[in-house]
Amino acid sequence: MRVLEFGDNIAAGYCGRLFHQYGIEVVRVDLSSDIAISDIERSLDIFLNTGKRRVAIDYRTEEGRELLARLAQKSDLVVTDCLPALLDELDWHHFADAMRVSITPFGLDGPYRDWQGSGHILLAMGGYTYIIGDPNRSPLSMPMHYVEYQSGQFAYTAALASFISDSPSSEIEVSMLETVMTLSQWSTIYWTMQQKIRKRQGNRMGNVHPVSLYRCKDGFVYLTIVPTFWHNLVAMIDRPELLDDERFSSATARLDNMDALDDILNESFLDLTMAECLELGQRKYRLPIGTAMTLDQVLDSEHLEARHYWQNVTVPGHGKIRMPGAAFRKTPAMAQPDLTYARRDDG
Amino acid sequence: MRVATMDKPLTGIRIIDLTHVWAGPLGTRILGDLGAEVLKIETDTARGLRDMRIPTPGMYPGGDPKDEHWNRHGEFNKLNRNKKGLSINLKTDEGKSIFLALVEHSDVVIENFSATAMDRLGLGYQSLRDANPNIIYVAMPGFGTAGPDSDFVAFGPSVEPMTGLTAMMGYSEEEQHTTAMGLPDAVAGVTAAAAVVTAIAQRKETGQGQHLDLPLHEGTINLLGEKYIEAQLTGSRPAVLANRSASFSPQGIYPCKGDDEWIAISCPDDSTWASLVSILAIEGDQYPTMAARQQHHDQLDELIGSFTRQCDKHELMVRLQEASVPAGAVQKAPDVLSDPHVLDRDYFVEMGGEHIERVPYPGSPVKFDGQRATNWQRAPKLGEHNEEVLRDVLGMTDTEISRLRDDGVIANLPPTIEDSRRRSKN
Repeated sequence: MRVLEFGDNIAAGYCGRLFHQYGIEVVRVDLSSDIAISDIERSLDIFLNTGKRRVAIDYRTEEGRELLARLAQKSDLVVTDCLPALLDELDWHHFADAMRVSITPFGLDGPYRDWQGSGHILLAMGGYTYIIGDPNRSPLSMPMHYVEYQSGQFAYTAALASFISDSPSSEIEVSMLETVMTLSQWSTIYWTMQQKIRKRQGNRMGNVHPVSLYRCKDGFVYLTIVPTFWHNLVAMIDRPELLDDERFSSATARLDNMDALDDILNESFLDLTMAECLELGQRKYRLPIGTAMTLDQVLDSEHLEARHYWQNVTVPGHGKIRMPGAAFRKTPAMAQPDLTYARRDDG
Repeated sequence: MRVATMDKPLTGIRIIDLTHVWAGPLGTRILGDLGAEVLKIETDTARGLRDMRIPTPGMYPGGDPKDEHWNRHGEFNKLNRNKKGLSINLKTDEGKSIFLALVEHSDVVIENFSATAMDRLGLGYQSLRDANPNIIYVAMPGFGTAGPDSDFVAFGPSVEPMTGLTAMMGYSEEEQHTTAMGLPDAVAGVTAAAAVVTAIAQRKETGQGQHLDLPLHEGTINLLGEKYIEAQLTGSRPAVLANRSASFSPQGIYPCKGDDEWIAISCPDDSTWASLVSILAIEGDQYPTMAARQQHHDQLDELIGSFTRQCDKHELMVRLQEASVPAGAVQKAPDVLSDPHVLDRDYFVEMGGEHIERVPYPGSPVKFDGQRATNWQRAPKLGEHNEEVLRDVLGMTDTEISRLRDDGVIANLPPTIEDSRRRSKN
């Protein structure tokens, strides 16, 4: 099986990364004009494209389009995240005998088909952004390519499922806006069930408490204390009198008195480091708590090291770095093969 | 040319679904949408974190739990369409036997319990393999099935800060923020569907099943991949940028006319900036480059905000998009449900039944050969398909099934609190 991948909206790159991770040959077509890259762009390029075969073709020209079409004819599956206007120029619906997979911001039809949409825009339109952030402040977006990567995962899953089926489709379409709406846990269902608009609630979950972020001595700790864990939380912070406090005597009472409870918890955790929170909370009292780890701390995690999670990549001019390996793996976990990054102009 | 067909490529694949809460049910929902036969096996006492024996506050149609509150919860119904519902008590020997008999006739078992729960039930991978040597087993514990933290108690919201996301997200470096929705669940759900399809494809080649480990923790770290690389290349951690971008400028979320109304705008290049400037009727010449715009982002935010504040978010979105400026209204749920594009593409799917009113649910972002998926089924009531599955898959008789119900091995209703107490004493 060979996958051909082109486009510049990240989603196809993530889809191709998944195909490559599971042993399938992926040929990535870069635009030949697009070479100089910053550290940020290079990081993305390393993450998405290491291990793929790479060619540089300017498919915005007629000659480039012909070359691209020839490559497509030699492939089993073609994945792109180009905008629909460019797909029209490529005569997408008849572009190749291979299975064609498009990932576009708004899909291939509908009034917004030709609109511009990055993750920042699509999270807003799909209902995510409105519910993230503090009340009475601006909503918050997310600092990652969530929409692009999740859309890439949908494309990978649908394409592979179809490819191995008895009746594969010719064409698969993934809408990134619809990906956001598909993955909403709170917004639309909250409205359709109760005609209530879910609002921003800071770091609180809002339907059970204490579920929120608290300051500790050297950072932040997140508690997810659903009712079964309440007694152990009280034991952890050594405040047994809270068990007899009417304000916190039931799940409903704790919700009604969130502010008072948060005052107590904020005070309690200020004396503990993040490491102590985990040691006490997770290991001694078996509580679902987590600490706000920096990237360095995650990179140094003994747990991830023991699980062989990171994959080594040699980056010319820089040396060896670690990048996230596969998100799902066979057990027992084994070390993942080392890779070497080839820049797009070396391909 | 391939012949255009199928909106259900996983037809013929049977999946035993032991998952609960969000991540697992989302993963199996995606697989059900793709045509797999998903057998959702539940206890009769709790659905996710909700005790079925007592009506708890929640998202019921019209806010009313009514008599069958356990079958009417919005989140459950959203996450479990296109599945068959069985309620089997896996703590009984007979329940275990039925489960293993179903494994023999299935392709995949998927669960998101703690790392040791299946072994403690006596239903670990080896037991599953004994029943079906080619079974695909997907485990979704918070921190994996092995490693020093594998016994950590995990829910999506508290796993999220452990991935590095919280340290990069917020209004400022001092005000770190979570998504407050348990993002790792949504990530792991989609990843689980990818994992299952990958294992099915590999089994088609090798003839062998496998045991896959899919931790919530690692799924979300994966989605931050380039941030981890950037931190190593530059030697510094990515800054907390609120709604800005390290690559684009200006980018932000700006106030609009009305109460708590906003618009997201992003300028990825100089030409977009020129278009934005012409619409905002501001002086843009002094910020000709991305670097200049990054440097004066505060100033630009004020200029843009003073304009957007006078505008309706939807009208402005259309105006900006027509000028090729990436812009999107920050939509609330009713906006999303009535969005002309979303309606035109027929995205939401209405479902309901005798026990639950018909309402629109989020559909699928995938079209096969230009077609929406068809023939979707509402989420099952508790134990709704006990009889059908035990009869059709295992060949049980009505008498046998009736005895299982009398013995409390299968159920269609949650027990009363008193029944539960009696059961636990026995």
